[in-house]
Amino acid sequence: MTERGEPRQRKIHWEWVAAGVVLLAILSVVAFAVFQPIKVLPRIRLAPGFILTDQDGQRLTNEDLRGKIALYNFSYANCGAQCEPLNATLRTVQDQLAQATGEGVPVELVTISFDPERDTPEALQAYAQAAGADPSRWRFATGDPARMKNIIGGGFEAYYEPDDRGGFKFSPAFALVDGWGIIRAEYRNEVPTPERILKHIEVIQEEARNSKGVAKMGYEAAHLFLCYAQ
Amino acid sequence: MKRPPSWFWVVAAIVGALLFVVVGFFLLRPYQYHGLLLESPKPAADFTLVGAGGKEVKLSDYRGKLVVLYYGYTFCPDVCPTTLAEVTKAVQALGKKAEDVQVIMVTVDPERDTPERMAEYMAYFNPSFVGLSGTPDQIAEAATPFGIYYQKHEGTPASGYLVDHTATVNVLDREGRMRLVWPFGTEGDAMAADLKQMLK
Repeated sequence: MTERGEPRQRKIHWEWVAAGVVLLAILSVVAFAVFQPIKVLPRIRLAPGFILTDQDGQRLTNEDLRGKIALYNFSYANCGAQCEPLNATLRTVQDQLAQATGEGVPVELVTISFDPERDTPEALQAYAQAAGADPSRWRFATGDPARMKNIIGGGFEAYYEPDDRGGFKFSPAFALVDGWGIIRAEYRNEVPTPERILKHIEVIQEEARNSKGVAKMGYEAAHLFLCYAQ
Repeated sequence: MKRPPSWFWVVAAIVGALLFVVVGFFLLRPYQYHGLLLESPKPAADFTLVGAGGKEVKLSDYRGKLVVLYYGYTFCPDVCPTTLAEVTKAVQALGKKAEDVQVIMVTVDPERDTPERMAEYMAYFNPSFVGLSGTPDQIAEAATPFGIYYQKHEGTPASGYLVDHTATVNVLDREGRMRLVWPFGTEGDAMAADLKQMLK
């Protein structure tokens, strides 16, 4: 109080207010980057374009899978025991997806054979049955022999090479592609657990569901700050 | 006049600061692309095709410019001219900066689209646009890594056969890295805004 009984007016230090606001803004950005409230999967690169023929003799192209999430892997019908763990993983993913009731982007599994000479639709049909594939969710396909290296090796960057015993040398490779045809996760030189794949599918589903309006800004920030799901 | 009480100033300062943060956030927030931004900075697969006058053209020849890469064909009745009209609008909106952008259309119909026909067709949209053709094998190699599917199918006797194809537009940065995908239907204004951002 002043001598005259009037309240003394406090001077507002605007420079401190401005510094506080800037600090708050920096802290919010750092907090977003550290706590990562939104998780996403990176948009890695474009999945290749292709025309294949599936186990029913039906055409399967990358455009047919636009608007769906597609989980790809690469093997061949005469693969034998080497491919069993790959197929077991896909079978579990397939079965878990069948049990999920939530609405979302449809998911399809696609095994592309790098042995088009021998893998006729009939051979792929038998392979699909042996793998326990549900034809409505999991398709087996191959295409023009001259194009397969470009699609599998070039586009999906999965290694395979004929060996001298009539089979193939290859590294296990899986790719998860979103509805825009963009690769969002790759699992190479290892067989991923079905839980990890299912978690990644859910992350893509969530982004497709929620990344709209103001929330889209949050998702784009998550891409910018590399808030990637493990 | 009665002075406002001191708590008034405290509340006013807090509201002011919050407003400042909100407005500041909207002004300074990172640019949001209309297309889908790829996060991997790997160089795109190079290709060699044939341009006007039979000249061999590589995708990597355009390093240093943004490349707007589209796949279509000159007999295309609807999708291609619509998309190219939007791309043309976007390039016009860039003004002088358009010099740093190269629009390329690769044919998905090499049987009918000779390099000359491609050049003529593209010049109709903008004289700086480049049209490329090649052998069926060259086209396939140039299309696959960019997620492009294409297949011939029957049309009418008037149109001849048609070619189904992926209708997205891809954008490569100055270092030749695949960076942005515009889904079919992206408007010219949106494309121009994205290109301006990439040119910064």
